[in-house]
Amino acid sequence: MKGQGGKLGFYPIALLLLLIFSISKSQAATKDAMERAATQSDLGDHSVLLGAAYAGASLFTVGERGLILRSNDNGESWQQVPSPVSVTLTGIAFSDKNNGYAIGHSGIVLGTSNGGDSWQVKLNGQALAKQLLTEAIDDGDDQTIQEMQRLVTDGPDKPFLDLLQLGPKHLVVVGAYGLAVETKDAGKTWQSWMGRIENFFGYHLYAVRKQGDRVLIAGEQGFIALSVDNGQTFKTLESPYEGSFFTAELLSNNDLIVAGLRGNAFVSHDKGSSWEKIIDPLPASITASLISKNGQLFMSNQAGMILSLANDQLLPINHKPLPPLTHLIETSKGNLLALSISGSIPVHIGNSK
Amino acid sequence: MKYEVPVSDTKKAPFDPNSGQLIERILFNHRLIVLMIFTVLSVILAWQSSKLTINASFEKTLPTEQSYIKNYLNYETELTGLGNALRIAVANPGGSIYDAHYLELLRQLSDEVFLMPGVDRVQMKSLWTPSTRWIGITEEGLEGGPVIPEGYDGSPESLQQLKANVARSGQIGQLIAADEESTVIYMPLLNQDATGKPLDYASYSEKLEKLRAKYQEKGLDIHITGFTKVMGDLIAGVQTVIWFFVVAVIIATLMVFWYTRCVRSTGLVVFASLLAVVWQLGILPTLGYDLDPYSILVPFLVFAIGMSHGAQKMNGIMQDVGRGFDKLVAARFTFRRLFLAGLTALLADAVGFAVLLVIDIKVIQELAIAASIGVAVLIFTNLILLPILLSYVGVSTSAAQRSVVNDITSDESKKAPILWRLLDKFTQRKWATAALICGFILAAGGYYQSTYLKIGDLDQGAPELRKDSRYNQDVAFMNKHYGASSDVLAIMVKTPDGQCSQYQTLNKIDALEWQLRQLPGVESTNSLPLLSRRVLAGLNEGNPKWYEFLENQRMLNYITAGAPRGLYNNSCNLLTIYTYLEDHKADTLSRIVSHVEQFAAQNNTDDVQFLLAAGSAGIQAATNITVKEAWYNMLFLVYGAVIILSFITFRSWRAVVVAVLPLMLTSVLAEALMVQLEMGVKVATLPVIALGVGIGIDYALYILSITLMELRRGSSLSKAYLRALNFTGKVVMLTGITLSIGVITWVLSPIKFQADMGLLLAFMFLWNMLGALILLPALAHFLLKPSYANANQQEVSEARDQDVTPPQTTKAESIADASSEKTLSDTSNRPLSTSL
Repeated sequence: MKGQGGKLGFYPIALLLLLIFSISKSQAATKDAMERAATQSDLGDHSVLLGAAYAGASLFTVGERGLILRSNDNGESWQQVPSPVSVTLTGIAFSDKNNGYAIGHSGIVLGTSNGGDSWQVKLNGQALAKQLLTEAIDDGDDQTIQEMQRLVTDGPDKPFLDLLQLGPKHLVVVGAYGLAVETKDAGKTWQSWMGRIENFFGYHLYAVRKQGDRVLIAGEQGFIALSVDNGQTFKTLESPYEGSFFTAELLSNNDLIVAGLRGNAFVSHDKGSSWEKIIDPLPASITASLISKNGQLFMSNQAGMILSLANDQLLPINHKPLPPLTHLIETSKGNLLALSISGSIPVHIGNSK
Repeated sequence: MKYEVPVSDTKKAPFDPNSGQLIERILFNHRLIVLMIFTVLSVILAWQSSKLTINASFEKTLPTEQSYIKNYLNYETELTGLGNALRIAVANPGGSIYDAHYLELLRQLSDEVFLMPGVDRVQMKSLWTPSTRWIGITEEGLEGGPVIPEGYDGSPESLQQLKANVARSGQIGQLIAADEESTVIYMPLLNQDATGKPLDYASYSEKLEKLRAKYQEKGLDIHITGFTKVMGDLIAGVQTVIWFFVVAVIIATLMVFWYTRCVRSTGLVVFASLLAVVWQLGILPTLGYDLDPYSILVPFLVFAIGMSHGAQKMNGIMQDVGRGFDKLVAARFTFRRLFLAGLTALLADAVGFAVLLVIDIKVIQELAIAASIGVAVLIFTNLILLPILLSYVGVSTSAAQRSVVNDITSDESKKAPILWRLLDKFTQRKWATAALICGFILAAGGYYQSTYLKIGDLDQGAPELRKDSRYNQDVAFMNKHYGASSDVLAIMVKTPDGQCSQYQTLNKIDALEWQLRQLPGVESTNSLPLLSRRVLAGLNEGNPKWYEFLENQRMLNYITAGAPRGLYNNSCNLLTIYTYLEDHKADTLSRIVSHVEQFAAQNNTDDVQFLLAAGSAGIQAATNITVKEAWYNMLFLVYGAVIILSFITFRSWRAVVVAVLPLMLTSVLAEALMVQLEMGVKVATLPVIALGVGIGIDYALYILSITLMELRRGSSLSKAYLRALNFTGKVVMLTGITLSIGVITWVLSPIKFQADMGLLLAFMFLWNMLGALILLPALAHFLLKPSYANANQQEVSEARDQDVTPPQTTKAESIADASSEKTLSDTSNRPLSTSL
């Protein structure tokens, strides 16, 4: 009896040890970035930051290496929030103070429902490719099936580049090679928008904007697509420019604006039928744009300049160039916060003009 | 050794040339032959010494058996990114670089540098080389051109164009300073010149200095950094050390003259000591060694030790002459009395040096060898040649007489000099207690300080040179204007052949690199995955959203193919991760090293291994590890040796404690001093403690052996100590001061580590002397007076009465012999073999 008991006692311990050993070993080796929690870093505010959004009074920004930073003082100081991935995050949006999403490379979509305290992976490139393939097989279109099969074999190497949050559980995401998907159930299921957008060459989609029923998408090599029915159908517009657009805006007066490579920016006053060039004194690529609460349009470029639009002309508002800029957000205090390849920079627009 | 010989029996008896030991008879009965042999040897060795080269070898400072260094040496040739390159920063003191005059001078300098021998011209870069290009992104793809615009004519328009090109060249912070007031000429050097000869650092450095002088005259500011320049400056610095030697010789000569007041004999002692140095410098090249900045310490030590031993010899002869002996007889008596004592003392010094051989760093081992050679040479020049020369030359009569007059034949303290009487007070309870309390407080304070002792170099820039040296100012300039740290720790990643661009491997590197950047002290990093992030953004029209290390093998292969060598090697089986550090302090280095070790343990596979370490800071880290181990080992060994040596000598544990405790106090205080002076434990300071302790025990041996002798005879401690002071006190002081002076001149050396060594050694020599004169009697008061001396007195005196041959004659015995009241023939009858 005694010996038996001892034997019985030994096996669970051995199993437990084996389990602990295998767990610790699997945790030890470095995983892929999409499965590797972000390293806790003090360098967050000196890193490449790419997107920002408010959740109530808290300002969030995302960037390289899975960085998610939170600021409770409008960007003056930042604290890192745990993130389940180490991929470069390219954008973030909140529909209210609790619900938000962040997107990034490797087809990553992260979601939070507690105001950004914790983030869960809602989608990754592998899951996306499989789901899109299943969807294509259901539809039975051979060409789409082929394309989606290639997506599966490519692996999760495609980034999402912009997002549009339409409700706590409703999100549209666009990305490289024409990727465009939507979820209405907080990421449980995803529907492809790729059938709706005519993008024969699979151009990267860099910007998606919505105002009223209009949805505007701009991207690589002059790609512009406009929907006037809440995104149900898109029409690819004739482009005024063969270079890439990195940002787009829909103005309240129905004007469309696109901007991108080498300071090329255009405005359309007639729903995209014709475009006028916006004069930009600097030949540096425009990376981001912003319409402030009082309707002023700002753009940022790679030469570290912030430009303000007036009478179809862009004028720099800062004298000394900042580091190459990546994104703009208006703070709740009415100032601008510019994101750059080396952290965030507060910009006072009071002394502009 | 200053001790009068009771001469009543021998004074008037005719001297028997066949008396004395065999060795004495051989030497003194064939003085001319001996002199001729010495002359021939001296000529040969002097000739040999002219072949001695001063060299500064980087490899020799490496602990070659340390695993990091083994890794480094294994891949040294593959690490092209860490190749030997110079950077010449050319600043326009008048203003910006967009100045036609500046640019013209820069072009001339760039051309001159291009034509210098040994330059890797393909890789060389300056604003003017065609390889310096700008790149722009267009709708069609990329465009680019040389940064200096085509048709540049110095006009304001072309300067404007240049400025625009510079802005898009990506060279700001690399070739062009952030403030645009200086540019760099990047000058990679080949290991061999066109004729296949290895690079001569000294002459190359001189050429660079000429260039610097030429262009500074034309109004430019020139800053030069790089390994070759460090070595060149180091060699130039070593050559100035010859002047310190001259100064040390002069001061030590004055010291000895002050001690003897006899020109003739002072001259002889200096001559013999210098001859020892010549011999030593002649033997080194004969055995295939050269002199490096570390072993250049040795001639100083040899000279200083020679001077103090010579002074003892001379002192003995003087006293004998003063008592009326013929100079030959006096020389022979002195030889009899002091040869063994001197031999033992020199052998004890050698123990201190020999301990250094266990340290696996070549410069330290060569220092140990050179020092051993020097000590061996001293046996010949100062213990043999000097008395023979004195037997011819003699000493001045007045000095000889003075030495006898000053002699104290009585032990009565009233007749003793005031200093001796002062020191004697430390044998009394009140003073002894006070001294010990002081010593204890110092030890406690020193120990507390010494816990802050750091391993490694603590200053910025090249640690070999002084903080305010031209070179380190240039380094500071580079750091300030180019943000490029000179402290690089490189991690090597070994992969199978051709597999260096594998995603799995690069992914690990990418993760490790970001982890390393989080560590305090890491300024920036570089690696293939980091480049891949930048290139990917560039390939996507510069959009920063593409700043990512992408899991796409084809893309990684493509980026790797275009990546500069240095991030990976030609056969694509070795990747390098560079970490650029704020400093090379031991804390910073060990933080990084331990993180990498941990990462490697988790991520190494059979195929892919993360290996430490290359780069200046990597080598420093490896050296620190070795030095830290060696520090404790060496302290253990040197103290072990000293304890055994003194136990054999005194045959009493109490006496060992009395002798060794003051040394330990000095060691602790030396460590505290290092903390105060912000000196770390490093290759240069490592030998100092061994030398300090090894030579420091001499003082205790001299004083304690006589004290013990007297105690055994039944004298009070005070009497015994006073007698010891009378016999050896002056010599101890002379030795302490000559040795200190021999090395203190180093403090002025342009080479930082030499200055550190000089200061520390001087401190240890002096403080050991004070310890022997003050703490030793105080400790003896508590440990030796009542129990040991009284208990053994009877026994010892009985043994003496029966004149039993001592079982083993040791150093103390020899010294004691010299001071004993036995007749000279007693001593001389003792066979040589038992003495050794």
